Amino acid sequence: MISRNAIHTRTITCGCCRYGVSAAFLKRSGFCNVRGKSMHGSFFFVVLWIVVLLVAIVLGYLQQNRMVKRKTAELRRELFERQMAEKELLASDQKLRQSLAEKESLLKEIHHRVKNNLQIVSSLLYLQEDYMTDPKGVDILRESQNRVKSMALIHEQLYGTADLAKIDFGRYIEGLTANLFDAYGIDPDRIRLNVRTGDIALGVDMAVPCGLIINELVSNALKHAFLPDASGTIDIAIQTPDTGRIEMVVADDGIGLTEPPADAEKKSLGLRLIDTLTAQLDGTLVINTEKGTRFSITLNAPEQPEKES
Amino acid sequence: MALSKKTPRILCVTSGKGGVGKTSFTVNFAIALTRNDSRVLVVDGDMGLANVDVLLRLSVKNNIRDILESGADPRQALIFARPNLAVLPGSSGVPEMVSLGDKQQSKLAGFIKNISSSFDYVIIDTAAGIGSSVLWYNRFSDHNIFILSPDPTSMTDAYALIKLLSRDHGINRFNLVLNFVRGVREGNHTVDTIKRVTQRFLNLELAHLGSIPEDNAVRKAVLDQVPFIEQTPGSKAARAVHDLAERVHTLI
Ligand SMILES: Nc1ncnc2c1ncn2[C@@H]1O[C@H](COP(=O)(O)OP(=O)(O)OP(=O)(O)O)[C@@H](O)[C@H]1O
Ligand SMILES: [Mg+2]
Repeated sequence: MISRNAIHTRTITCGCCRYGVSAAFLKRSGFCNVRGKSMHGSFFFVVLWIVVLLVAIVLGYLQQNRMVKRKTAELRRELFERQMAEKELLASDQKLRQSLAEKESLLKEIHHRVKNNLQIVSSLLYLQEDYMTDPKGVDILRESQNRVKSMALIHEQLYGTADLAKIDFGRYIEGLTANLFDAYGIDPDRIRLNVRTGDIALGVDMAVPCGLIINELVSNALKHAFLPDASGTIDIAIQTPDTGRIEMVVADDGIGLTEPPADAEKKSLGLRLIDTLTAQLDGTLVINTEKGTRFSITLNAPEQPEKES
Repeated sequence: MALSKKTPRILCVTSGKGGVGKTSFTVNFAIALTRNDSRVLVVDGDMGLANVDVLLRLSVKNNIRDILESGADPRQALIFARPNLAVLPGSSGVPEMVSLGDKQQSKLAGFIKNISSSFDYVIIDTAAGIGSSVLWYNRFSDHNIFILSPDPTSMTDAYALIKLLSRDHGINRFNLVLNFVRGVREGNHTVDTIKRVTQRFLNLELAHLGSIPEDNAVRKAVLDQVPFIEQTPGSKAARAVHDLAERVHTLI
């Protein structure tokens, strides 16, 4: 303790000589007194600084707190906006779905009715057979029935599937040919049928004429290509060689066309229909009679518009 | 102008959410209007929990329910609370009054039309929520004033009610009064937000009539059962309500 005091005294003495303070005085009153004045001064400033710092910290903290609160409130209001937007969008989405579902069922209903009406037409034609004495007239009525049935089949298929705009053409051809075999009372073991179609989906505007063309070609083959009791094969192949084109081939290995009729007046209604529909769809018709009869029809099949209208 | 003197303007004060200051606004706004020499009738349309009379410390003898039931002259129920200010008190604690039947609605409409002829403004303080009486009062009025706080729940409820009124009741003009506002910035943000939402989804333009700051003078005045516009005329809230009253002609 003493030695420490002594050291202090010495050092302070040096500092205080300038003020003419004697070491003895220093020793008596203790250096603290004189040193106290300058110590008090710096102590005051330190305290002042600390206070200022503390006040600044507290103010900064309060300010920040206020800002955080304000920002939080703003974010909450923005959240409100989002929530409302979400709610509204969800509601309108639901409305859209509902209206879409309504339209779909309406469309199905319409296809159903069209099919029913076509079936009625077909039945009327069937009933009229009884008043027809001329066997040729009966044949004509039967052909008309088949045409109407082929068209009805399109609508039947449309309302039976999920896609109300497109026809699975392969499936349609199968249904159509089965109808024709039935109508002409053909034993499928006698005349065999090979259908090869890719994954071809057609809109109604395209499916109806294509269906009618196939209807005529297969009917002709069933009626004329094979002698009674003779067996044979009918090949149907449908493909899309490039986009926008559709190629339909109906070939039989029967007796072959005697002479490809050139005179429009002499042609059967079936052949005229094929001509007309082919021309209408900007298509080409190639008939090959080397081995049986082979009809090859290439048509423009515009991409079915899916979304744009 | 002569025409509007004859047919009083009917204002409906509503909010969706409760406790945002409808009653407090109605009473003080009415007094502010009387200071501009308008004759004002306050109809306490809160049929379930009326409290206009509480804020004005009035003693009620007959209320809306009594005159509707007895068919007495509605003028008997009127209380002249201040010069140029009359109050038609509502009923309290009667649940069946919250929803108005068709018959009662037309009867009430007749009453209000009948007594309002000698006033310039009729201000209807409605209940919280979207009860049938609230919807009816809103349809019945010329101007709809929505009291709104910056609180998102208040905004949600106000939006829900605005949507209901505009879609199902053919009302497409709404005035906003912001209450409990702490700062211009908060007020603007709130107004912008709700305006954006109604514009986007309801295609409605809202008019912002003005804002009332959050003010302890309001709370204190409620406790003392004196309108703050009288108790502390210099308070921020009181000055804000005076400003609103000055703009009453801008109501859409
Ligand atoms: N600007 C304000 N500043 C502070 N407090 C306020 C303010 N406005 C209203 N208040 C307080 O909010 C409370 C509710 O007010 P008031 O009764 O007017 O609301 P209300 O919307 O009529 O409620 P209800 O839906 O129950 O009828 C009151 O106690 C009042 O003191
Ligand atoms: Mg109230």
